[in-house]
Amino acid sequence: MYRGLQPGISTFEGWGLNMFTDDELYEIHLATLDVLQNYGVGVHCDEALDIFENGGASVDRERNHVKIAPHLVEDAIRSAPSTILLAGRTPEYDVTLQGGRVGFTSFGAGVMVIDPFTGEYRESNKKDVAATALACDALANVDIYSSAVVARDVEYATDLNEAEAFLTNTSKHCHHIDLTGGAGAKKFFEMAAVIVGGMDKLRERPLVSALVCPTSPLELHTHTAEIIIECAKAGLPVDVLSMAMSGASAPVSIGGTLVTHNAEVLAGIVLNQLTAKGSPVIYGSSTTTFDLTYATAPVGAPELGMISAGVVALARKYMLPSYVAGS
Amino acid sequence: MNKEELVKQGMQAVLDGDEEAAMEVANQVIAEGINPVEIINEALTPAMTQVGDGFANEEIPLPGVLVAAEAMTKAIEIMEPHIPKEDVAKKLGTVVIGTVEGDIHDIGKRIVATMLRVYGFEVHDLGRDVPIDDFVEKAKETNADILGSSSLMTTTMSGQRILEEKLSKEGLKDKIKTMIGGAACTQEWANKIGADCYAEDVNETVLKAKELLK
Repeated sequence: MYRGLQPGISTFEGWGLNMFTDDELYEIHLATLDVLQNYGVGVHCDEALDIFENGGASVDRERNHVKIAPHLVEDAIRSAPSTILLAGRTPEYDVTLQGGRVGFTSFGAGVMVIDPFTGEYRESNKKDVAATALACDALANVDIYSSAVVARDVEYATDLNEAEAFLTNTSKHCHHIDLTGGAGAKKFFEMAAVIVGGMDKLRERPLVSALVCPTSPLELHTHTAEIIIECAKAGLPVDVLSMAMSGASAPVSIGGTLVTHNAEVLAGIVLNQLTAKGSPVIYGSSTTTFDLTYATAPVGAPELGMISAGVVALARKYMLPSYVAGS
Repeated sequence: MNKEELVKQGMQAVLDGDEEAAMEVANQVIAEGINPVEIINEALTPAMTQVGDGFANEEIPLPGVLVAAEAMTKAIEIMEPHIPKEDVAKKLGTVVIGTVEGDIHDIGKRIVATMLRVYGFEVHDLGRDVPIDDFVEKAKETNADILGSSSLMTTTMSGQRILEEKLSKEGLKDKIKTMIGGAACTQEWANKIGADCYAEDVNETVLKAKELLK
């Protein structure tokens, strides 16, 4: 039987979890602005305090505390780019973060491994870092490499040794989860620059990026702030990723957790944009619930999925790429 | 109200985490002229221990422990000025605790500090991102029996080893017992660096702290 076309209809591709209406997201956004303006965040880094102050935020040097007015937050959200390139060694490995496009990565950073040959449960080492990069390089469903494990056998310049291990074992984009500060970040970028032929080339085609964590609730520690600043200066993507735990380092309700999580991440994004407007940032989350009986943070809990869906809804509202933990 | 009643009510107040009830009991204890130490030892501490055990058995969630500790703390605050002089000095021991340099995670450590206080230790909480030298200085200054350090990240754990080395160098290892904790720590790490004790959670910490000082 002939069935005619239906011009102008809308369709739903794939599958999605709609946790909030636009109005509800707006409520969360307003609550976040309230927290940032009237309570603020702790910032434990002099250079960051300078940047916030010069950018117009209200800074209390004695308490290492910053209050951020709504317009600064809105400006930062607007100026941060909606499309980000995570480059591989060659364009065939490139990943473009944009809109609702989904990609997958190895998450980390693990500190223990089950030895794949002996079955022993032991601390991860530099060889394991290399092996995970190699494995991810081969796996078609892994789009970029994120530090899967750390090199616990290396005491000095651990983060750079890890970089050496993974940069030489994959052609895919490398997202460093274990940088230990601004100095380490700069050296890491230099390593990547050597590979691509200079810092300018690196800025054009970012082979590397960094993940940093605010400390929940509502704080940016020294190293986190330093790395956010260095990434902005180099024009390389930084993933400001909070791991709040509802009931322990965030309010016990998912809505409340999204508010404080949002405030932490946006504070990092404001710092980044005040350092270099238009610098690429990724909105990150590993936020989950806290099991109050076992006193542990289950990353495999259903709440993590719910929170991740909420986080992505916020990121889409802000037109920013997002990076969320999955189980 | 007689003492027996007050002991019962005191226990229940802590078990329920009922601050108001605990404070009411405390006021009654003072009004009746009963020695507060008796109520602490016969009602509050056993109730707190029961709550702690309940948490260890995964029957009571962490907030249950915290509200019980709050209730007990409030009751003790009221009764403290009325403790007879001869009973006052009976602290279980002195503890210096903090999160190691470079690390600002302290939620667990603060819970541990509260609980140690509740159980009768004198606790000096140095806070977080504490330089190793500050740990040693405070331990010397307070004549500490136990030095506790917390570390959440593998990158800051090494501070705990440096602490052990500093204590050895100053000949303090036999005077001061060291306890380590935090998500990054394990018994193996304690063994490796020569710490006297490792505890996985707040309940274990209290039990092991008491053991260490026997």
